[in-house]
Amino acid sequence: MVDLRTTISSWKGRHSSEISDAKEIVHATKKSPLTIVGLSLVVALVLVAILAPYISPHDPIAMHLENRLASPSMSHLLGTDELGRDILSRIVHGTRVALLIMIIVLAIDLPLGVFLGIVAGYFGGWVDEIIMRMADIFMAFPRLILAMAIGAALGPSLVNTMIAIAITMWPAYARLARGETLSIKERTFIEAEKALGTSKARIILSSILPLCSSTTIVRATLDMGNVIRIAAGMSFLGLGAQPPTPEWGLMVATGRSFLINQWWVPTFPGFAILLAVFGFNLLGDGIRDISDPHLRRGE
Amino acid sequence: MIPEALVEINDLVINFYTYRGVVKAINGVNLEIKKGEFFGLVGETGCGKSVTGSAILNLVPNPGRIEKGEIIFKGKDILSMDEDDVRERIRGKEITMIMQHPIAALNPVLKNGDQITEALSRKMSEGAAKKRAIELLKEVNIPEPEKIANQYPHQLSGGMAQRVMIAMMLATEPSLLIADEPTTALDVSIQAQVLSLLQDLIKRHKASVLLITHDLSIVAETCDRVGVMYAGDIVEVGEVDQIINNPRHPYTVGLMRAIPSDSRKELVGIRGSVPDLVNPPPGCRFHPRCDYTRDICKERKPKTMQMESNHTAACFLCEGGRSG
Amino acid sequence: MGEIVRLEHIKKHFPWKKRRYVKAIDGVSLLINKRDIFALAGESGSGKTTLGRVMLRLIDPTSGAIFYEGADITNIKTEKEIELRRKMQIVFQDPYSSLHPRKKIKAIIGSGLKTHHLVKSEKELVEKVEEFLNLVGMGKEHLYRYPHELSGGQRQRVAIARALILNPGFVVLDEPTSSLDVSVQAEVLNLLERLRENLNLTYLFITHDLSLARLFTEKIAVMYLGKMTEYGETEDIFKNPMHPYTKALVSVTPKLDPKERTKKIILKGEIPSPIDPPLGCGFHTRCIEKVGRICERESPQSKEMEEGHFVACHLY
Repeated sequence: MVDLRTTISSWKGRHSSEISDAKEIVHATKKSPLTIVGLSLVVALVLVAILAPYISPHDPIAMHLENRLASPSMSHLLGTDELGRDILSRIVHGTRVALLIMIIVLAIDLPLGVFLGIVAGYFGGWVDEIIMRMADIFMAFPRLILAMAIGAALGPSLVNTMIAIAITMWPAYARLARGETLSIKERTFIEAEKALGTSKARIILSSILPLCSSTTIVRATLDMGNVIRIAAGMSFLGLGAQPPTPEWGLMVATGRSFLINQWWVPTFPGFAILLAVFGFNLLGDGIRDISDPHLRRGE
Repeated sequence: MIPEALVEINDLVINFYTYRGVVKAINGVNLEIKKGEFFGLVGETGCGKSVTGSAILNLVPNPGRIEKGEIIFKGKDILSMDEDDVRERIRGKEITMIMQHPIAALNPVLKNGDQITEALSRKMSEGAAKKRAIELLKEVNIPEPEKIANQYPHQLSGGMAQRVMIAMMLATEPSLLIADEPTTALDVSIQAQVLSLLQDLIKRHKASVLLITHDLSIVAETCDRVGVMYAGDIVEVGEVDQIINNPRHPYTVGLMRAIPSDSRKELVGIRGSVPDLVNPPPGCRFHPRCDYTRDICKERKPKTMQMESNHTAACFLCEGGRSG
Repeated sequence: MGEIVRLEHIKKHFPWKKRRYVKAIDGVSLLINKRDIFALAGESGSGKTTLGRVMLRLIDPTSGAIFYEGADITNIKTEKEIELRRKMQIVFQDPYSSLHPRKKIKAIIGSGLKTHHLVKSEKELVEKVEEFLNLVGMGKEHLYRYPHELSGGQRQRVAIARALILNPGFVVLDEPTSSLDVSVQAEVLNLLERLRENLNLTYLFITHDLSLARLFTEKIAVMYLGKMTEYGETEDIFKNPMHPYTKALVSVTPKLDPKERTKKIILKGEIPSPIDPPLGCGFHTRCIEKVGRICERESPQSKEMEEGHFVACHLY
């Protein structure tokens, strides 16, 4: 027992700065009600996704044609769709799909985009030219159109949707990272590392990369809204998730024709999209507002 | 009211309301600047000297608030005057200010000559103002004044820009010119030009100067009287040779020992560091770093003691000193 | 005592726009011996900051040669260059930007140890970092702090520890106390002096403050517009300045004690830009002791006037 206590207190000692930073972030968050709303929505999304099998009242794929297009009731809180599937359960499982898309896209884009951006910014010259011209080419197209084109070329499926979205989004992160790198590399502490003999690779990884993280995180959070929108758009057009996957955009697409008489079929999934995008936008704004003075102080 | 005083600051208290807490930046400052004198307000980073200068023009920046105090100028308290009044009659007219980064302080879209004529436009016709502007530029030793008047601030060097600022700030024949670190960003050889210019001009225009700086050496060379500030308090005031030859406050003594001088072969620092003004030390704010601290220093704020004529210090040590 | 750093005819011209150059350094030669405290003094545009970096090869010279302990290091690459980094170090002027804001003090000071494989374990690293923290007068409670939690003086001490932990022989101090308050400056300078004694270091002290140079250094080279105008023992230069620029600079340096003040030679005009420096002697546009046309045409050579006292001026 004594051992544990000393271990904890020595951990606290070594990380006292982070602990007080965390306290400050919590304090700043508390002061911004919109950020709390955004955070709550996002946390709710994640929790629902994790607990989906346990909290969803019915099987999302089970069809009950005898009960199709049923209006909201006690047994089906949000009604059923054109194949008799419980809409609430499908929305709940849809959070998993949405989250999966976001995670995959980020997992591809962040390392790729940030890495390319830092390399372009740090080394300059023809490396910079090549990377930035590639980025320009991708950025010249409106995202949805480009994603559609790639999705169509690869074939309609959820995985291909994720790849397509990832391809359209890396240039933004590269641009961001490059911009940050350009200003960071002129700072004296980088010169100090050079004077110490630190290798270029280590300078990039341990000195430049950590400083790009705040803008990247803000951008990524705000972008999550876009990811969901584009994925939904692609599914709506038939290029993304395929039935019976409970993807929100797909649900809106297939439910479209029932809008007048069985409004709940496309509306609730649409609402889910709205809440998710809203949540991420608020959270992103909040993170940006909080990180600005907090980090400026350290720089 | 002291008859000869041009500006009298009485019991000024200013707080800054920041996210970390309330910074008690100015802790009850009393200061007077006489007519026609060159007064140096000296202190290190964070002592409040710049804030004091801004307060004279009631220009304390956010999140600062003047909690109490008066600033008496020509019989009226600037702090209780109407804002419009202050703007019309005092700021840029009777009391003007030059700062550390002159190019940044000048309007980038106005030509240099126009910056000056703008200040004069109320008192005289445009033609007369333009003529006066050229005269002033000549007075501040700007070569080819007509050419410079036609240029823009970004085309000027630091030293020239500072001289244009001085010309602008003397155009309205102010009674007081506040100079906040005017030469800190300038090279030594240019600094000498600007300081000597200031001294000449002040004599000619019969104005007073409040020179705010961290550099005690330039104060020693240019000023008539000196005020030393530490952590929001004025700790010592006196004539220049009184302060240099007979410093009484332990902080002033410490400062002198930290400045290179040919006669002293060694520098001695002041141990410790400037206190956090969100939680300033109780009693005398200097006591944690003072070698002569006694119990009373930790409990009560020292009163200002008079030691010789014109020489005061805020320290319990000086209590037994000669008075008057 | 042997030589440690020698510069021969160093020039550094930075390209600027089309076919023009910033002539930051325009032909400087000097010699620094072991255990010297050598001042490099000058104002803006003098090239002193660039020269410090060229010595360390943080910037490569346009022409000329650099020698360390007699060996030519002008063009060495990679492993030899890394080895050099251990022997020649630098402390920068601004303690607020020379430390990485997101790294802890332990990582900042220990960075060099990792790069040069000077320690074999994390434990050894912490021990060594603690040792040097103590050496600069700070305690181990700072190991896990961030720079923004430290005062300016403390940050500068960390920067000193970072440089010295590699056990260099030569340290460039680039205006190490200009950004600090006077009371803190004194402590940092005293610390640097103590460390020089204990660790057998040679210092190049770059400064614009002549009073500091006089107090702290033994030899001084004064620079103006990329060239060296005067060089010699510090006391000598102050008591008997020969170059008109040095005379002016010494006279206008503010002095606390009125007895030390001399008649001020206030130079007229501005410091010319190093982009198009005046032909001949760069100082002739402001010189009150100008000899004549020769000052406008020919750049004066450096002559030894008395033992160890060199001046580059047509007066002599």
